[in-house]
Amino acid sequence: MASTLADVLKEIDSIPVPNFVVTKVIELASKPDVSAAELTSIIEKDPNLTVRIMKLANSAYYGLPQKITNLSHAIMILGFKTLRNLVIGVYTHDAFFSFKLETTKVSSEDLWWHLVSTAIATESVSNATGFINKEEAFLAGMLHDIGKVILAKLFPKYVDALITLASARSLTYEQAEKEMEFPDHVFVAKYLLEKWKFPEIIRIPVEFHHNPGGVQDESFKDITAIVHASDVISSILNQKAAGNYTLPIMKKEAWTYLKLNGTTFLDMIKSTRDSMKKSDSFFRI
Amino acid sequence: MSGEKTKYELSNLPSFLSNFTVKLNSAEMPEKCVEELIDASKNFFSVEDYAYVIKDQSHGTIKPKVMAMGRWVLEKKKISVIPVDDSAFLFLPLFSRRHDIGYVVMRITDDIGNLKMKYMDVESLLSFETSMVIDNMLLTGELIKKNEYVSEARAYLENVLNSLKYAVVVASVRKGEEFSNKPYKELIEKNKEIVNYIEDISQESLIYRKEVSREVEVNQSFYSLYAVPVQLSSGLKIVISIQDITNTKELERLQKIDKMKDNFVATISHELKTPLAAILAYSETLLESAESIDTDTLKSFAKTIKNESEHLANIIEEMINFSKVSSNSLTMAFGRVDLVKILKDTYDGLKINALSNNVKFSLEIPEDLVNAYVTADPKRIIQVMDNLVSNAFKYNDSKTPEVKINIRSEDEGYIISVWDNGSPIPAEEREKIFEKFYRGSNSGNISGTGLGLTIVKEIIDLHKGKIWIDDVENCSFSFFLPKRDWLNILK
Repeated sequence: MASTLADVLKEIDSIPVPNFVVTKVIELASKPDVSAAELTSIIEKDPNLTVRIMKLANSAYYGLPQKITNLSHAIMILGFKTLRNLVIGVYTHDAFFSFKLETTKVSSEDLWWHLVSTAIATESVSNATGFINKEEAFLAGMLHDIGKVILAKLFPKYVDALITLASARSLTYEQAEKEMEFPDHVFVAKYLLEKWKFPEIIRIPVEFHHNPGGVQDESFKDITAIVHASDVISSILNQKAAGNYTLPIMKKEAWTYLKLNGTTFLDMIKSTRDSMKKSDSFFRI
Repeated sequence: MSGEKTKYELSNLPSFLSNFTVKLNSAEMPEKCVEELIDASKNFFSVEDYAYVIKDQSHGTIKPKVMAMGRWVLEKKKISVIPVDDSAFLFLPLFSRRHDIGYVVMRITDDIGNLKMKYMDVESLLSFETSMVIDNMLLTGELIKKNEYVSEARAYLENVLNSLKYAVVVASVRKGEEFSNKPYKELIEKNKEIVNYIEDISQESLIYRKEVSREVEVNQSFYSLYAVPVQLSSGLKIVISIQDITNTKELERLQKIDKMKDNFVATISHELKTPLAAILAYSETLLESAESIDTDTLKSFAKTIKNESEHLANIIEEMINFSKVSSNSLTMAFGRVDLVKILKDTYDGLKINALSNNVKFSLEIPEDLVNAYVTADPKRIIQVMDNLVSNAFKYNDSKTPEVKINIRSEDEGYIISVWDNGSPIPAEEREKIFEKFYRGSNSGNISGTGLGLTIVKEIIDLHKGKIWIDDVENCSFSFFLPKRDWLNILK
């Protein structure tokens, strides 16, 4: 088992960068001048991806009153950023969740469930708090715990030990991590997303999703608070999927920043649970 | 398809947004806001046609298929360009953190393949800002409506309260009178003094936190007051309702007099019958057997007849006097007279009567009071004294009856008292005893018309005097007559 930071980074660097299509989509989606036609032509280069995206676009989750028949329509109707999210979603699933992990305490299905449900929760939280960059929050939610799956893949014994500790002492995954002298899942995710050239609006909320008060840049405080709240909601719905053995509690800074109260918070949990009933296609992407 | 239209380049987005914000803020209603939003959108899209829905109200015709998409957009809160049939529609959802408002749909003729993400982002921002402004307008509208409803309810209540026969006033602890209805204002105008009684009862209700009711007499009118404490969100209030019950009171009084009159008729016929029966019996005996009766018996018979006739005459005199009192035609022959002399005459006249009644009877005149001049009708004063003294004889329940007359001089006039050692008149009867036909609870089967004291009071009143019952252990009537020559002063 690797024990130094350099060893860990070396292991992480062994993970292949996303393929050309995904990299290009991430890049284009950050350019204001991108047109629907441009994005369509890139995605169409990968027929398998195109088919799976069309399947998602027509799924019960989006519940469109009419069927979408081509990719450019999907981009226009669902929006540029939603399409980007679907592309990254399909890629992330294929790259990290399509094989069995060696860990015994947590499965790739559990972790994938946690990521998708957090992403879905961001929609409820965004709507309830009047946040308009919903698509960015969705993607940040979907990637926020990518570090956990990478650690589980590269260092399964370490992750098992960590979860055993959490279980023995009724801790959250993150609290247990602090007891271990090892790079944590947030560090891993941050490193990876920088390497993959994700924009700041995705990287910052992932990096601070356990510490929303640490965000300095005012323009990222709201999205970070939303991802933090969504992570908590997902854990409330299924505590162990994220490797938690006690309920994580929302940080006060995020709670007051979003001006939440008991009723709005409960409504968010309910609406997330309702959305998840329609999101089968995401879990079996 | 005209993609030719020069699109607004976003190099100067802040000034564009500030311009748009100014326009939004000067819009007066939600529809105008949407028009501004559509106008602004024309900078980025070639808009052919548009329609919108605000709070389920459609503006412009929208096909069902388009409407279904509009509902989807609003549900997902997502800006969307949707190809429907041969056209493309730009849908903008309108919503706030509070609730869904509606959506705008524009038919655009742009080449949708060339639509840039940045325009969608700006549109998203514009529709969000528009939503905020509309939401505030709707909220303000709701508040105004609520306000109208509240003032309408208030006017309604006020009308109801004003139409009541009761006067109603609401007082609060801090501000005093807070609300009053029309009848109350009219009442206060008519009878200012009642305010004091209202303040009293409201204070009492406030202190004890309970309902208080009472009847008061103000300037010959009777009122029933009722105070209730009411706890409202704005504090503790006292609601006082006032009803004029003068008519009810007057009716009660008349009914009482009517009953007394009935009693009077029964009493008076009895009073008349007794001496008459005696006179009849003795005179019949005389007629039948005048020859066989000795002189002494004859004399005693004649004396009885005379006494009973006098008694009868007295009763009739009293009734005549009373009817004069009732019709205010009691005649007086006033002059300056000496009360000392009148009292002495009265005493001498009644001495025999006292003797026959076994009453210890005395007259007390202070030694230094040689004479006591007042303006009076001597016959009437004698009548008063006769009445008071014979009452003292008649109603004295002591086994060793005693009656005392005395006179004393005060600054303004003389006070004459007739005292006896019988039981006192109960406090609650002291006022009523001077009323017409009233007979005290101790009158039992003692004969009397119930008119004597009414006439006495009337006579004293006509002498500018006062009569009252002394608050002593025994029974004592006193009356006051002024010293001054009021008759001549008035002249």
